[in-house]
Amino acid sequence: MPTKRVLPINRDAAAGILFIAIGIFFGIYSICYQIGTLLRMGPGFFPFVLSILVVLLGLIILIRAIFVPRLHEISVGTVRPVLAISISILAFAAMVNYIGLFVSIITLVLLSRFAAKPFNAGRTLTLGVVLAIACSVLFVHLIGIPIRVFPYLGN
Amino acid sequence: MIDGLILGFKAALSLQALMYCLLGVSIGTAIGVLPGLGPVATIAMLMPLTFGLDPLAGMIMLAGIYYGAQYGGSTTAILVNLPGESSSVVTCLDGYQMARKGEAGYALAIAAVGSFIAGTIATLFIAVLSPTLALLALQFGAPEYFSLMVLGLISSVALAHGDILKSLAMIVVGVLLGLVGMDVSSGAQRFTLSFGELNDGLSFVSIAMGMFGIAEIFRNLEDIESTAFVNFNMRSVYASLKRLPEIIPAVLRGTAIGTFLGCLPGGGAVLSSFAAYTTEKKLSKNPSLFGTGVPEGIASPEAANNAGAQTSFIPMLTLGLPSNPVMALMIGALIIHGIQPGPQVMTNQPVLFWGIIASMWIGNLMLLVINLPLVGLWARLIAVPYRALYPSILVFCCIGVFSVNNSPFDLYIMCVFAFLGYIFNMLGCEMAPLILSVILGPMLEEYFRRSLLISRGDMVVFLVRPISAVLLVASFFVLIAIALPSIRTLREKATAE
Repeated sequence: MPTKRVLPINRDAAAGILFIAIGIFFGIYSICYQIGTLLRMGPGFFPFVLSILVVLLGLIILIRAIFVPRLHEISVGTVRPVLAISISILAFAAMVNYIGLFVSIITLVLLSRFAAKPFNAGRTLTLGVVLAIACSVLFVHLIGIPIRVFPYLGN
Repeated sequence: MIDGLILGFKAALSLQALMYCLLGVSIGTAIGVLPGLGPVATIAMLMPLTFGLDPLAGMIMLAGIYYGAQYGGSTTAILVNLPGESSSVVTCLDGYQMARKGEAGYALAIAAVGSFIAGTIATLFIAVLSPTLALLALQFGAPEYFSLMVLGLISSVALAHGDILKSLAMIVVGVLLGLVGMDVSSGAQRFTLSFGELNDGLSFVSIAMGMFGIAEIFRNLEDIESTAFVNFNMRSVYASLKRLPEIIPAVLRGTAIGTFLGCLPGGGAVLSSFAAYTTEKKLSKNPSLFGTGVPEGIASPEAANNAGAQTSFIPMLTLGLPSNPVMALMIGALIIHGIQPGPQVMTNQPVLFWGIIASMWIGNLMLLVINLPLVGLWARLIAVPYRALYPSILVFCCIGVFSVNNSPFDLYIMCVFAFLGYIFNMLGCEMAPLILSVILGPMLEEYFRRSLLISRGDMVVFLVRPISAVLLVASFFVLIAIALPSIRTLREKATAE
């Protein structure tokens, strides 16, 4: 079983900084659009006001975290599941329009199975093929979602 | 109302509607049983299944998934002390203890019958209240809608668990994310980072799926628990049916609490079940027995979570406002079907409106008659190891998101938000408020602008119009109230997990 590690970082302070960063990003981006006035609001008005609000909330959260240090440390799991699942999704997204649903699903299943041990290649492949067949029949043939199942072979 | 119900039952009793209702409640039960797969992710996954259907059949199925999950969640709570759904956490307390005492059959019967009674009453309540509310809402102008949304968002923070300040910040971030894409009034492409795919905005299904579906998989893979079964036989379920009258009062109390809390923004199944359990414990003559296998400890929360799941449809059906992430997805589904949610749905689409309401009662009946005998089969689902389950979930998630626009870009977005969800979760920020405001964001801005256009740029407009003023003052008091120390501790107790 993967164990959780604990980072000695104040959780609330990190959240506050994250919100401030998000607010500054959207705030600066909003200024690029026309702000306008209350009567004639430009596309930048509403998001700009909201960005300021996020920054303010982030500041309050940060200040509270500094003055009232509640020891909520961040617990981080292993990177393995996050990495394996993300890569499998990205691979599926990159492949599906070119190679078709069938092979993409098998790839998705194979890659994602690296996220958890124990890994059994035979069983995983079987699961992949079964899912590929089931989804092709269910989504494409029965429901009629327009996704290519097999690669286009020019004929 | 009677005409409406007749119309609704006619529509909901058609063969196609019945089939999708059955499909919905069965899928709902299954995901309710499976821990680590919630209704939000499931509804997002299966939304593409409904694209080819007419809107009524689609909505009936999606609704069935939500309240079906409440039934399924209790099964695993009772048999293996594992809440399949967050709303059945409290059912574990007394349900599992009853099962250990050899009364699993009785506990299951209480949960099923209690949920059915609650479902019936809640459906009636929806049928009575919705038309009135919708008629009232039809008179709302832009300022009223703006204030209503503000109140809705703020109270969704107040009633949900989690740090209030962080949840408020999540709301504002959600609105900002909702604004990504083309601005309707000026045509400006906002926050698209020059990605042409973002001109139509971030795909709501991608965000919901990433934050609730995929981020959930990340979390589950970190700690996988093993399960231990409690044996029971079906005969004991039927044998215990005649003991049911003794728990009827508890069921009715739970129903009342759930019906009320479900209507409120941020309410719904989870809050209702916790509130019902606490109330039942307070009312009991010997509260110390709670947690050792008291029938009332199952009856009341189970009734409450089902009633709450159903009445949370009221704000969605009548005002077009989501009170929880599931309802936000329902609104997303309606929009994909080309129906703008709001009070006009009742007058413009009476068959859809009443059909959904009628189907809820039919679905509850199906759950009782068809699913209770199958309880043993459902329970066996838990034996599926998570490492075999999650690749299948992942495949469905990917196809679900991809098929909304047939665009791989939506999958990249899903991946980004899965990662963001993982980070937010680590930092203790709730994702439900963000999801609600992503869907409300564009409407919020639109109503804000329209209000100020009417008033020629005078912000006072929100306070001069009486309904709007009342709503804003109410939001203000909710904010003040949750900041008060005494109420804050009460809230923390009530929403603690």
